[in-house]
Amino acid sequence: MTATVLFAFYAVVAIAGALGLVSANKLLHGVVSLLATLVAMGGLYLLLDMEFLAAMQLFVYGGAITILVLFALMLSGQRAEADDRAPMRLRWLPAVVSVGFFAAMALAVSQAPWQISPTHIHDTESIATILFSRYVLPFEIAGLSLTIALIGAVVIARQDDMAGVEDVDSQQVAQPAEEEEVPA
Amino acid sequence: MTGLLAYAWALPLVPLAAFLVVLATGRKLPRHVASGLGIAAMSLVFLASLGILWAVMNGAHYEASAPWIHVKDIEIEFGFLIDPLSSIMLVVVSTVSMLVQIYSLGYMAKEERFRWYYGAISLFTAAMLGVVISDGWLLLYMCWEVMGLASYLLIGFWFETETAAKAATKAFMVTRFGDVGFGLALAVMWVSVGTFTFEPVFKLVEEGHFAGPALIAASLLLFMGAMGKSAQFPLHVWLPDAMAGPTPGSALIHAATMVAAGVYLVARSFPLFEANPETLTVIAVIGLITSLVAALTALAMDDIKKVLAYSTISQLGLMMLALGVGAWAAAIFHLMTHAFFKALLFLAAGSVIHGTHTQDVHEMGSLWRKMPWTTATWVIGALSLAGIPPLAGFWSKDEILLATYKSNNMWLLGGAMFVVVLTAFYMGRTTFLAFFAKAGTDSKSLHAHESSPVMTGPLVMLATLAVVAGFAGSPLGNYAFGRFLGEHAEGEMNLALAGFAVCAALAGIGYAWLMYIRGKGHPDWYLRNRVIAPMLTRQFWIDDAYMRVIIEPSLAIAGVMRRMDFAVIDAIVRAFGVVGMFVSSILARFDRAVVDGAVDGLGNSVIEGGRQTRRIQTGNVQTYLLLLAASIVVLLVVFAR
Amino acid sequence: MIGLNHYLFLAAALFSIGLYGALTSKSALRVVICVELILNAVNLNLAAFSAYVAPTQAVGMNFVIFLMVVAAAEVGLALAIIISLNRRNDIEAIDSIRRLKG
Repeated sequence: MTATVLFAFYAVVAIAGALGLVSANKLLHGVVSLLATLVAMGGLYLLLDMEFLAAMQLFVYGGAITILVLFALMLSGQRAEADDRAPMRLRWLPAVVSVGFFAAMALAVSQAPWQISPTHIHDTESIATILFSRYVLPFEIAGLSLTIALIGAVVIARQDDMAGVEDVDSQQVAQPAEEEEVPA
Repeated sequence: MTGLLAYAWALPLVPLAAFLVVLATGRKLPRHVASGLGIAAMSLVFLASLGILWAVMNGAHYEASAPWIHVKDIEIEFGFLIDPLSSIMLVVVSTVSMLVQIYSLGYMAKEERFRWYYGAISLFTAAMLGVVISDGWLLLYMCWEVMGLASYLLIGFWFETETAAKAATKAFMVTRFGDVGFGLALAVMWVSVGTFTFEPVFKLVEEGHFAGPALIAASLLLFMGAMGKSAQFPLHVWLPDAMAGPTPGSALIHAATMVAAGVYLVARSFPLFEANPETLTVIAVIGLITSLVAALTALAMDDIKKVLAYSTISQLGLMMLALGVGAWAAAIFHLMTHAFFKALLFLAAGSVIHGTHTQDVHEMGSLWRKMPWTTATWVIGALSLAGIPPLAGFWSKDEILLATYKSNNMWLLGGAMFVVVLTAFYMGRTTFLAFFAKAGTDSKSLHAHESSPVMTGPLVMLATLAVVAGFAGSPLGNYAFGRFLGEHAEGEMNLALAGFAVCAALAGIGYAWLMYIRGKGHPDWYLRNRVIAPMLTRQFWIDDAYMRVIIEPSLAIAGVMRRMDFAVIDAIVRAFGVVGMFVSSILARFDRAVVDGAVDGLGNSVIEGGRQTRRIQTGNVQTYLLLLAASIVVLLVVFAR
Repeated sequence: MIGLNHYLFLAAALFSIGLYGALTSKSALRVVICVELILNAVNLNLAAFSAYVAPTQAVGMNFVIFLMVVAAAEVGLALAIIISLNRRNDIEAIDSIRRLKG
């Protein structure tokens, strides 16, 4: 009973937050509503008896990633007041596609005979067991990829008064966007 | 000798070969070879024909034929026939041709187209030989036509001059007109009896299977052909003009041989005429008219060749008269003697022309001093023509007069006598004026010279023949000529008639002597007479009549036709052109619009399709993402079933 | 009772919304954020499946952890790229970068 109510609550918040993100004129507002969604997701994990996951969700997404995005927002020089959504006339096709996608998924889900056996689980224990025995290699690699990402981000984002750094894209972007001729 | 007869068919081929050689080699052939070939060929034929004559006189007779056209039921043969008539003709033709060719060595020596002359002479002789030995009318007609061609070539020998070209055309057209009759006669014959050979047809006539209107038509139409070639009135107009050709050629063709072919034709076809005596009357009358008209016209001629031309027409008329009264042997006899003395006269005239460079007798005179041989031979020929015994012409002319007398037609006899007088007179006139009258101070005779032996030789030969040839048909020769030709009646002579004729001839000569030597009696009075003169000088207006009635209307019609051709036919052709262009312009537009359109359209559609397809590649990541998502949706829907 | 279906519907909805956002954003930053949303939806899916279908095995949950890690790394890098792009050229609109245009 309580589970149902909680579920409904968290679901509504998540959906609302998502909608807020896509409908926000200003990205800042969108990020904030996304935060709400992320937190609601944590709640949903809790409802599934996955405490570890919920904790991770809150720490990583709700904390680190949100802050990261906010920092990027501020540092990108983008005018935060600008509306960076696509104009109205171009929105119909993505809308159709999205709705269609949802419809397809819903259809698929509703028709599939899932084998269900809900039981109580202790996720922290299970995760730990699996993570350090069977999937220890992916674990290590994940850590490695994080490291690489870190280094990569630093390399990419630093100032380029260093000689020899080529920015291929800048050459292309320097020209005003012009129609290229159809190659004969 | 009899064996020779089997090869008589080759006789025409000998001169024909000479002609072909000249034709093929043209200027590459040396001159003397050209003439040598002709003379050699003719000598060969001459000797062969003498041999044949000998054989026939001893009773030989030959006839052979070979099938030629054989189509279903139609069978036409052609072959040759050697009998007394054809053997005599062979000798006459070959003799005169040979002598003429020898003579031409001198006369035509300075001629540029020397070789072609000899070639044409050979061609003609070949054709004439073919005429006299063919055994049927069809083959005769073919050789007859070739003769016409050769005549055209010889009359128009100097075709650069307008007179010669016109004269040749005139001769060809007039004789061709006569030949139409000949052709129709062949048609009638074919329809009536289905064969062209002499013997079978004669048999059919005898048996009465070939008779009536068809026979009359055929015989008269044959005579029409003879009228053309033998210059009978009114188809005689071509002969005087034909004098534009070289004189030796005239001697051969227009005096001795070709013009005699008509007489030969009638003589050969005599059974056809005999069956319907009315036809013979027609022939006689026309012959007489011809003879009179020509003799009268000869009185007014100053050109020595023209005199001879009209004289020929006149004598041919006499031959036709003879045929018309039934004396075909007499006609052939006169043909032979005439061939000799007329050829002689023409060649002598040629000698005179060669020596004095003029043809007008008034520019001559006293030629006997400068050209004795020519004069002597000419005189012999003239006397023979006039009918003075014992020359050949007397005997043959007398036979004709006798036959006319026997026909009991006084008109014919009177007319013939008158011709005798006229003949003697105009020959006397010409002879005196040219040879014996005193030459004027500016006469051409003053610088004249006798011709070379190569020319005078043949003259002498012919003069000899003009003397002796007559004896074959005279009492002295026992009328052998007539009997040889198959006449059954015993030859005879009416001394009264003969004497009367001789007196008439002497009277004519005497009158001429008075006029032109003695100067009495108003020389050429008839040329000043207001009534007679126009008749004579305008040749009885025959040529004018032809001009008005036939030639001018033909030219008018031709003009109309020409204009019609321009207006109508050219218009049609132009219309075709216009239509063609119009159609092609439409087709061009169609081609451009449809065909090119299709091809270009195909290309363009491909380009356009590419251009449209290209728009997917926007370079925009979101587009790709959109497409990706859309594709997934579609796939989900499709595979969810 | 809350069944698997509910979670799956929710995840699908979140996915769709995130998809829509990614397709209709002018700025690259916004797209990255929407992609995060999508990844979250996927996480939820995995977790739901793990809980309802194979609770004794922790495979799904492991997967979620890895996904989170990767998402984090990816966000970091993407943001670094965006920052460097913006710094150089003041480019706002994402669709002006179209070197892939064909």
